[in-house]
Order: sequence, then structure tokens, then C-alpha cells
Amino acid sequence: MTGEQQTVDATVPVEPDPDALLSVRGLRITVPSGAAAVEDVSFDVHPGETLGVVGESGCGKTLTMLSVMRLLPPGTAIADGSILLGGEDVARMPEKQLRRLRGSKVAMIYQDPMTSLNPLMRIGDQIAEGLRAHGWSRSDARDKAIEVLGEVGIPKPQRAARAFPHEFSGGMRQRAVIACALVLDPELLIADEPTTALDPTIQQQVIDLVVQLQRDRGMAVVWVTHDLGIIARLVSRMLVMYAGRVAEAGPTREVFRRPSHPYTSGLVGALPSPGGGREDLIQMPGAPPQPGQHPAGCPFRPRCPQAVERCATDLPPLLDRGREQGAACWVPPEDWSA
Amino acid sequence: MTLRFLARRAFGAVLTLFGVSVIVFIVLRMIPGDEITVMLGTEAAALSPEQRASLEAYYGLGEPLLVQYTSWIGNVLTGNLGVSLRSGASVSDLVARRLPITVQLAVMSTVIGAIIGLLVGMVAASKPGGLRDAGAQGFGLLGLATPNFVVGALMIGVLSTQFGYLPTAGAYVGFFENPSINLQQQLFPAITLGTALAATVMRTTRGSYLDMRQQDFVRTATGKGVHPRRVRWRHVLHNALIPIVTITGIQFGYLLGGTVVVEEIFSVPGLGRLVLTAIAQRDFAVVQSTVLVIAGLFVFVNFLTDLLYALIDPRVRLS
Amino acid sequence: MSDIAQASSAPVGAVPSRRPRLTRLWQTKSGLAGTIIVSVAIILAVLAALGLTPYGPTAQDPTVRFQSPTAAYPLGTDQFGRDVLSRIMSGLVSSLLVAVSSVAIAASIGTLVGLVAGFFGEWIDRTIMRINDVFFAFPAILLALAIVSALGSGWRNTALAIGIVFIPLFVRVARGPVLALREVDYIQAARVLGFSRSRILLRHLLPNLGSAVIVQVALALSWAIITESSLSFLGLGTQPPMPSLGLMVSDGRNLVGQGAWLLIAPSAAIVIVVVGLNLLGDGLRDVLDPKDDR
Repeated sequence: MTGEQQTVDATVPVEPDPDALLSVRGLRITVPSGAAAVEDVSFDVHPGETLGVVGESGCGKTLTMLSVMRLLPPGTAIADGSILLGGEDVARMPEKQLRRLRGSKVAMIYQDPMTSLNPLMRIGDQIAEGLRAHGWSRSDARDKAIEVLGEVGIPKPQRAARAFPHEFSGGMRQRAVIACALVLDPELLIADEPTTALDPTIQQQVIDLVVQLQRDRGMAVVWVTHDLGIIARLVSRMLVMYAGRVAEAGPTREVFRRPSHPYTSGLVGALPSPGGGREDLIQMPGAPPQPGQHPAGCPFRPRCPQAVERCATDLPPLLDRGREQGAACWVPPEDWSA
Repeated sequence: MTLRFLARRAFGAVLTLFGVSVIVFIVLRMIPGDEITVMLGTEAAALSPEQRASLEAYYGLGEPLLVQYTSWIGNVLTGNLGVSLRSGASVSDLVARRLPITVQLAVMSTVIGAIIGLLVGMVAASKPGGLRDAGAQGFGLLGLATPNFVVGALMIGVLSTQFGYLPTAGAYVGFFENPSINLQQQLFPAITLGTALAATVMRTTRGSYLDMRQQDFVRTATGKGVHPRRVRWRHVLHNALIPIVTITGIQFGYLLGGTVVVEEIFSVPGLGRLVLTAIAQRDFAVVQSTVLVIAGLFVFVNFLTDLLYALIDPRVRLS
Repeated sequence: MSDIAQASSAPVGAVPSRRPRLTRLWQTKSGLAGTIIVSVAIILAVLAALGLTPYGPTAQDPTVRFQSPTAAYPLGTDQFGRDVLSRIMSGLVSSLLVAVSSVAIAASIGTLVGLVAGFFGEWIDRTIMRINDVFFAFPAILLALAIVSALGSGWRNTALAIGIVFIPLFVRVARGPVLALREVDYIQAARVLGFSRSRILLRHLLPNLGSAVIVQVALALSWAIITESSLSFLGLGTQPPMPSLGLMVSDGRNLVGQGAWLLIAPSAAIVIVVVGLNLLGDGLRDVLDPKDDR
């Protein structure tokens, strides 16, 4: 009777992990219509670790990460759950305390470098602004901004600091955005698809830069992406999201070798050579459901080749699949039809 | 700011001014019949022969239109705006005396309108869909739909019946004669003129503020731990200012047109009133030159707007 | 909240509605309010034009001077005992007459010029737009004043003057879409097929300007009413004895001690009609402007 209600996933215990840098539990995010765009999402990021979050656009991965910095767009709100960052719950933090955390403990780099810099402000001022907000003096902040511009590989940082964003190329702008994020040495960097808007040649440079900076500073990095190639090469643990929920979680190696959610299986199957190519997610037939229009049961069922009767009625929790791997699927991989 | 940018804008302004002068010239040649007599009717007889000769010389009457135009524009360029057909006074003198009054009125109403519009617009944008937003939107709709003369007439009506204050009573006092009386006399005309501007600025402020608020760079700034107040001013408002400056510059033309009406209502002896009196007296020498001066003022303000625009937006400055 | 409810009840990704556009106009709040206000104004004006005002607009009755609004005189009477409501209705006739004629002039000439500028491009476009900028350099009412002063007052000349002044608005509105359409495939195809320029202009390009021009017409009508009543207020528009709203405001401000309604009623009439036209313009833009289709 109770055998089917296996205890949920070994990778994410119910209680927040006290050793984790970031420990998210039961996160629920609602959009202006009141529907949940993210539901029951839990994960941990340990100091210095690299986590990958994959999923189609609209699956809630960006909202999840924005909520870690409490940068959700107006009307979108954290409705439930906790987000412990260094032991403090970001979800319930007063604005003032939040400001202290943003930039210094956790920072973010964004998808589109063309729009994430203020067009009317000099690059150097935009970097120094974060330092000023955390109590640095004007001249110290200016010197530090120039220093960081050099660190992110921008030539002639003295001059670059006085430039406006429109004088920079896309790659240069993304470097400036990275400089803005890293100037206060955050313990956690969230990289939200920082390469999708860039030329392929520039993409690799930006990835290499983040990897090198992570190595130098020992910070933890969360890569939000739909590029499985990045995940395969850079990330030790990964989270696959579908329709606002975690579909599968576990060590990257295990997930790639033995996907235990049909959705992950579809994604991984699309990779030409494991760990080599940098293909985007394949286009599976069908589209993920919109928030508020989830079918009963498993949200992936309409697109799932392995669906059984139960999937239409019961929503699967994240079930333990061993080897620190968990998947939200009623059908274990050994029972899958070929 | 690059010199080339300045030069290009200045050249454009000069070209527009040239076109403006041509149009003014043509419009006032639309009057059918022989010039001076038609212009003055029976009044022509009142002119002394010297006045008549100087008028004919000034307008190059009897000459082909092109010659007339060049002689007029040549005079204008040397600062000679002609002679009033009625009083024989120099139009340059008339304009010089009244221009500062109109400029003061326009500047005061621009300042009043822009400040009110900005504040109301920001209040509206701070909570879109709220009660205060609805109020601001209503103000915007009414402000745009109420002609200057209605605002002015209602204002005088309320002031005179409810407060026993008649803004039009008493002779106009220059600013340097008595600043406090002068400002009092200019205040209500300025508020009247500023109303429509406030409505336009409010709508633009609300729209562009809401637009800018959801830009990615605003999120970036917040993500750096910047204080919300600084985010609002340094990032949101600064960027929202670009369309606001543009619309204020464009509205300045509307404002200058409005001075004609408002100066008439409040008995302010500015350029607008000069034009109206001249039209009533069919004094076309004054009409022609004064209209040119007012349009020139607008072109000049648009040039200034371009410069201001470039000061705010480095993309314009350096492109 | 009601917006959200409406939005979510529509199927996501449905084909854009093909309902008649007027019905959609009445579903927007501003479109409905604007339609009602403008219709009432038109009905009142038509009644007045047919002589169906409660009293003669110029009929004087010394026994009822300065009457406050009563059942017999809903908006009171003026210093000659004339019915204010009847005068406002007749005033609407001249306001709408001038507004409609002037916008008809401006829209037809302006659209055509804009069409030509956008279609031929090159130096023709540059010249036309340069001239257009020159017209924009005049405060509208000042240019209208200058033209009226040259032509003489009266409603025909007022309409002509306002019409000339508003031409550039339509040039700009028409030119933009034509510039974009010029490169569109089927226009190119028509060119390749050797259709004459005038045929391409009139049969293929003009119909595509409909939306933009219609929205502009509604807004231009409201500005035309403001300009017309301003000119009348200054004594340079519609001439007595033809009643005009601008003149009524002008008279009313001197009589405000005897009757506030003499100032308030015509002022309110102007503001309401202009608000109505603005709302109608907003509604039309919401319905017709493809940029706002979400």
C-alpha cells in the first residue's frame, strides 16, 4: 500500500542543509494572474560548487534564480517556500537587509548584455555603483572598478571605464556586466544564459572567463542554460526543470549516463557526443503547458512516451533513483519501453 | 558634445528658419489686390508721403515677388523688421520691448508645466492602476482637452467672483520695475498656459517611466544592492527623461501659440498681443515680422532641445 | 483584475479575432465612451442644423434675461434672454462644420503628399519632409491666425486655414507606413508586373494607410475644435450672429458675475466634445494599431 509512496529524493532532504551556501525548499512563485510559474522547487548549492539548471524557456528556471536575489518582475511573487542564503531566508528578508546581500553575497549576470547596462551611464560608474552602495568611498570604488575591468579582460581599463555601453561590442558589454557582478567578490554567482545573445566565438570566451574567475575566487556558480554542452562540461550537479517543477536532479555524470526522467532522456539523447558538442535542446513534439493550465497528474504526460495510466491523475514527487539521483516520474527507467 | 553635431543641428535650424520666412511671406501675399491700399484701406490716406515711400521701399512694392522677398529678408537680417503701417513705429522696437515679456511667460509656464507634469506623472507611475493613477489620467485627459482660453476664462471667473481678485486689473509692470507685482501678474497666465503642457508631460512621464522601470538595466542596478531611491532617479528617471525632454520641446511651439490667447485674456502686453492687435488693425508689416520672430523663437528652442537631448543621451552626442 | 480575467478566458495563441472592428471599438472603455459622447454631439448639432433647437438660437426675450438653469431653460439664458442650450447646439454646428471641413482638407491633401513622399523617396521625400518640418516650426494657432488675417474671417476661411495648418500631421502619418510597405513583397511584385505607379499608390498603398489615418483624423478633429474655438474666442473665427462656442466663452467671462453658467456651459461643451474625440482616438488606436495587438 505505502510502498509506492517512497520517501522523496536523497539529494534534497526536507530540511534546509545548514552547510549549503544556498538552500531552497518548496519554492513556489506566482505570476500576476495568480497561477504558479514555479512550484515545489528545492535544491542546494554548496560553497565553490557548480550547479546547472536546464529546461526549455518558460520552465521557470530564470524566475527561480531571480527569486534568489528577490529580483522578480512586478506582480510576480514568492508565494511559498524558503530561500536560505548563508543561513538567512531571502524570501522573508526586509528590503534593507536584502540590499546588503545583493552584490556582496550573491550576484547575477544576465541574458542580454545589450539591455542590462544603463545606456546613459559610464561603464566605470556602473561598476563602482555597486561598491558605493556597499559603503566604498568614491575614489576607492573608482580604482577598484578599473582593476576589475582589467580582470575581466577589457583592454585599456582606464579608458574603458569612461566609455558608455553603446561604445562596447556585445562581448565587451557582457564582460562589463560580469565586472559589475564580481566587483564585490560574491560567494555565489548566478549566470542566467549569459551567452545566448552573443556570437558563437564570443560565447566560448565568456564561458572561459567565468570558469577562470570561479577558479580564482572559489565562488559557487549556478549556470542557467538550455545549452546541454555547457552543463556537460562545466557542471558537477544539475537540475532539470519542466513546467515550473524539478523533473530530475543529480550529479551530471549520472544524469547523462542514466537519465531517469523521460524528459531528461529526450534532452540527453539529442546530444551528438556526450560532453563534446554544444547542441541546444532538441525540439520535442508538443510544448510545455502555460502556468495555470497544467493538466492533472504529471505535467509532462501529454508529451511523454512512457506515460502510464497513473500519470494522468497523480502528480509524481521527486523520487529517489539511487546514486544521489532523483526524478519526478512514476515509471523507473528499467520499466521504460524502448 | 562634438562640434559636428552642433554644426549639423545649427544648419538644420537655419534651413528651417529660411523656410519659415518664405511661408510667412507667401501667406501675407495671399491678400488679393494692391498692397498698401488693400492693407490699410482708407487708412492709407493717413500716411505721410515719406512713410509711404519708406514702406514701398521696404516691401519693394511693384517689384517681382522674388525681389520683394530678398529685400524684406535682407532688411530682417540686418535687424530691420520694418515700420508699423499704423503708428509708423519701428517693428524692431515694438518686438524688442515685448519679446522679453513673452519669453518670461513661456519660460514660467514651461517650468510650471514641466514640474507639475513630472511630479504627477511619477506619482501615477508609482502605482499604475491605483486611485492616484486614475486621478492623474483624468487630469491628463482634461488638461489636453481644455483649450487655453477656457482655462484662462474659468480662472479669471473663479478668481474674480470667489476671491475678488482681478488679474487683468492694473497696468502691466515689468520684472525689473517691480519683480513681485510682475510675478503676480505673470503667475496666472503662466499656470493657464502650463496646464496643457503639464498634461502632456504627465502622460509622457507616466508612459516612459513605466517603460523604463521594467528595463533590464534597472534590474541589474537593483541586483548590485543599489538603494531603490537611487535606482529610481539615476536609472529609471534619467532614462525616462529623454522622451520627456523631446515632448517638452515640441510642446513649446504649442505654448508660444497659446501666448497669443493667454496674453489677450490676461492683458499681458507681449508678442502675441502685438500680433492680435496688428491683425485687428490690418497692420501687416507688424504681423509679418512678428510671426517670423515667434516662429524663429520656436526654431531656436527646438535647437536648444536638441542640445539638451544630447547632453542627456551620450548615444546622440557621439553617434 | 477584470483585464486579467478577460485575457485568461481567451484561448492562448488563438487566431486574432476577425470580429468587425467597430464592435471591438465598443469593447474598449475609451472607445465606447468616446463614441457615445461624439454621437450625442453630432445628434445635437444635426438637430440644431434642422432648426430643431428648443428656442431660436438668436431669439431674444427681454423678460427672461440671466435666468439660472430651470426646466424651461436647462442651461439658463444670457443677457438678451437667449436660451444657452439652443445656442450651444447651434455653436456645435459651426464647430463641427469647421472641424470636419478642415480635417477633410488636411487629411486628403496630407495623406496624398505623404503617400507621394514615401513612395518616391529620394529627393522628393527629402524636399517634402523638409517643407513639412518648416510647417511644424509654426505654432499651429499662429499660422492659422496669419492665414485667417490674410483671407478674412468667417467659417469657410477658418476651415481653410486650419486645414492648411494640419496638412503636415497627415503627411507624417501617411509617409511612415508607405516607406515600410514600399519594400514589402507584394508591392515589389506589383512593380515587377508593371502596374502603373498611380495604380500601386491608390490601389495598393492607400488602403493600407486606413488605420493610421483614421486614428489621426479623430485626434485632428479634437485639435481642430480647439483651434476653431480659440480663433472664435479671439473674434477671428466664426462671426456673429452665427453662434460659436468660443465666442460664448468670450462673452461669458464678462458676464460671470451675473451668471456662472454663461461661462461654464459653453466651456464644458467644448471640453466634453474634445474629450470625446480624444477618447474615440484612443479607442481607435487600441483597436486598429497593429503595434498594440497582443
